[in-house]
Amino acid sequence: MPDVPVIRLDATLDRATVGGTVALIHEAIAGSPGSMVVDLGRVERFDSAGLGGIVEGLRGAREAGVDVRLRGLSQPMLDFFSLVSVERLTAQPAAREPVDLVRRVGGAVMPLLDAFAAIGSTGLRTLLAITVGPMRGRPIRIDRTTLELDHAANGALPIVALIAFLLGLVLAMQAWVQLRVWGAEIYVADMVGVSVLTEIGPLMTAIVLAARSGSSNAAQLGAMVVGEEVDALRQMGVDPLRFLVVPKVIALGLAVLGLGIVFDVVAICGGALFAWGVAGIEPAAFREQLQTALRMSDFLVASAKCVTFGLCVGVVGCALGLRVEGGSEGVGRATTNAVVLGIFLVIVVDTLFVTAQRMVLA
Amino acid sequence: MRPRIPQAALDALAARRRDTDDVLRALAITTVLGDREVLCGIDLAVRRGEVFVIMGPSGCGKTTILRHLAGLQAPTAGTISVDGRDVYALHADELEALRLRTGLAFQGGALLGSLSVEENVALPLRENTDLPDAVIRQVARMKLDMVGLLHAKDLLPARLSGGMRKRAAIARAIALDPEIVYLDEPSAGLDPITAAGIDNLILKLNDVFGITMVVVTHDLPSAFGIADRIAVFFDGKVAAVGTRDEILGTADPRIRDFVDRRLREADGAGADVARYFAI
Repeated sequence: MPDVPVIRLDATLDRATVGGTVALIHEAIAGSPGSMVVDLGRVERFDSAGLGGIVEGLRGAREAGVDVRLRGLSQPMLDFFSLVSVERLTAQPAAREPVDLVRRVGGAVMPLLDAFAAIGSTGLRTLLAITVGPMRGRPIRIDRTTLELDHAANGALPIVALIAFLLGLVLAMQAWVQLRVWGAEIYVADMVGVSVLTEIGPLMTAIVLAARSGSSNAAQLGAMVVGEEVDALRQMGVDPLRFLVVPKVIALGLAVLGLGIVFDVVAICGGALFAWGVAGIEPAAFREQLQTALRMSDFLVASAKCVTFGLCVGVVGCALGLRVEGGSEGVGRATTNAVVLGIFLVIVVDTLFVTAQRMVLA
Repeated sequence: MRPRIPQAALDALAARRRDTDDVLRALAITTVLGDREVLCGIDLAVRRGEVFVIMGPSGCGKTTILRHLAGLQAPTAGTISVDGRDVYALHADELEALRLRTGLAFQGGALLGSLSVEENVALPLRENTDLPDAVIRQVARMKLDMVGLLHAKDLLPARLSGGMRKRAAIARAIALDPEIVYLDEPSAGLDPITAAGIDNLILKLNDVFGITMVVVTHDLPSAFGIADRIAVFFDGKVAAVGTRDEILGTADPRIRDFVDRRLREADGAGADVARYFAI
């Protein structure tokens, strides 16, 4: 074959030189010579990166329809190639096929719909287990519930109280700045009391617990799924929902209720402290004003909100944790989604609450 | 990989450094984990280019010594040296450079769950070389073809079977053409055919690339099939080191029992309930 172009490679064919070699071969292929020869006879040192470059060249040639032959392979090279199939390697496409738009959109939306479906179904089954289950001889696990309650509520108490106190101060300050203009400083009590009790208390508590407990529930259950612990429970005849989810969900419902009340009290105290210290409103006057502003029904609605929010946060974390797939990355994703979807769901439910309340009052 | 050196040159080299041809040395290694002495006074020497098997029952400290040798965890006392240099006295950069000359296939694979099999094998190349992307991919595919996993290259590790994960881990361990490869239980939990395939792969890699292999296993057929030399561990001590025949010919009753798969008399358990019979 005297007329066939020949590429002679230098003595070293390794990591450092392979880039140039591949470029050389591709360049020769681009001229579409029909056939060509790569001469490896002078190569003394090589590594797998170097031979990877040769295979890459052969793959490019195959794609371009150029017949490339190798010449002068040493015994060590032949030994190396005895471990692989060049035929198989050169038959592979260079890169993965790009994903089309429909698949991409579907790939983004479908998991979200799946997640909502899972949250809905877990929520329903949990409610059934809490309400109907005990009547059917499947009592709620009190021991595990108290344990979970301790984890969720005790641990969050300091941070909830701190946030409540500071928010109470800030709310009172903002209200006072506005009301002072009209000489209506006493209404600081109304502002703080109503906003904290009806909205900020339940919302903030639920958000703190979504970040703190919802995420940890998702991570814990997710890791258990990855470690096949959930399957083991199922296999032993222990319903994971009753054993793991129900205690966590009840605990979160109670934790948000308890911490919500703490939040309300501490925030109102913070507001009263500001009113007393800065705005010059006596605590007794503040209390009296508060009593005219707040009704028992407000407190009951707020409590119902707290419990509902807590159940939502609990269900979201557990549902997402239980459907983890794909190891540590899946656990991370579930944890993130537990916080994001947990807070989202809480705010959606809050909107529904307020709408329903207005409709009833109207 | 390193080029094949003519046998005469190898012999000359071997003669010149007869004493220093141990690529890996462990000297008086003692390790305490919690309040348990896992290893007590281990001495080992691994020769360049051999398949060295560390064998022993579960909990005898095999994996711990492997972690020490691979530079992942310093022993409580004693030194590990590679090419005569104390691994745990090295500067961080030097340790990094040393690690690039070694590969470790973990027991469960330790593949990154978010990357495809091909990307897992390509990762060390991507991070440590500036090769063109096409070449990196080709090298990763060659290594996967060596372990028979080319067809699975686009799968995520979660979709692989246990044997496939171990093979993918081996492919990743040899991605950078290492001189020393550590394998932790490469055939544990696999069916005999797959295990034999992995043994065969270990021998081929050792033969073709001259890689020094340190293999931890409790799989007897595998150990005797691949080892140039075997170290048998018992209770954190080296009970014996030698070739397959030397180990098989040993007089140590513990090794005999282990090799013959004979049960040791379990203490206490048994028929002593008779003591509580009423008559």
